[in-house]
Amino acid sequence: MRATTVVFVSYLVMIAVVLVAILAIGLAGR
Amino acid sequence: MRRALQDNSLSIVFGLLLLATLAGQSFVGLAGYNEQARTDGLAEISWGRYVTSSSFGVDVAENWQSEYLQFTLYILLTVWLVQRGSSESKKPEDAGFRSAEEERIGEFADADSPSTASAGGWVTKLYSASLTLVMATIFLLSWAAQGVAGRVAYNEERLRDLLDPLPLGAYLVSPDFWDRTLQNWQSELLAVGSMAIFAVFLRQRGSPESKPVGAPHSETPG
Repeated sequence: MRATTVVFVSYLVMIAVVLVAILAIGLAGR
Repeated sequence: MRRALQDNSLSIVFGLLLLATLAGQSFVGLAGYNEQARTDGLAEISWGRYVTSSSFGVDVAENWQSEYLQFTLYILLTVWLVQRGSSESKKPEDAGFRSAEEERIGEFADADSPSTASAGGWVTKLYSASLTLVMATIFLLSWAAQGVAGRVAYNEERLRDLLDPLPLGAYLVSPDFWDRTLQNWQSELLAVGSMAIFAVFLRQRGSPESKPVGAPHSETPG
């Protein structure tokens, strides 16, 4: 299950990083 | 290691395909952006500048939001709505919430059930909706990102046409925002609806998304 947990967390982190980045870029007017 | 890769091959392969297509999107998106810049007599930009631009951001976010809306709706609506004969549906008589015993929660939890399922109270209530809650949160965040980045990208076009930039409130009721939104929603809803009904009559041997090839059309695996 450890590898499965790593894949699960990787997806969540990747999604969060991309969305926060797009929000930050948009709010900065870039 | 090999076992771990095999056990997670579905998620890993889709994750890698995502990264490859996102990279591809960034290169063809940059080519299109720079082609437009040349036409307008403006300076071209680098790949690094493009992938950190609102133009790229809005293109990513508008597709993400619709995918997560699709799954949020599908997860939630299939609690109550059914399609008789579809591998994507519960049996018509099972529509609605299952009992605590069927869900194996609280006192009915197994020894190896997640602790959040056996805890009971608000913890189990929250965990019982966690898939929908996470999908819906990603949908709302993606949609917000589409709005915020879409405004900047749209205002860039307006400035080229010597028009005033729109504030966020005005952009969120603009045709550009809703065109990006609805064109993605319609395709997702078509894909989900057709999958639900196609799975009644069509088969893919070996796929958990399909009924067994010889299953009667009227059989709902549930």
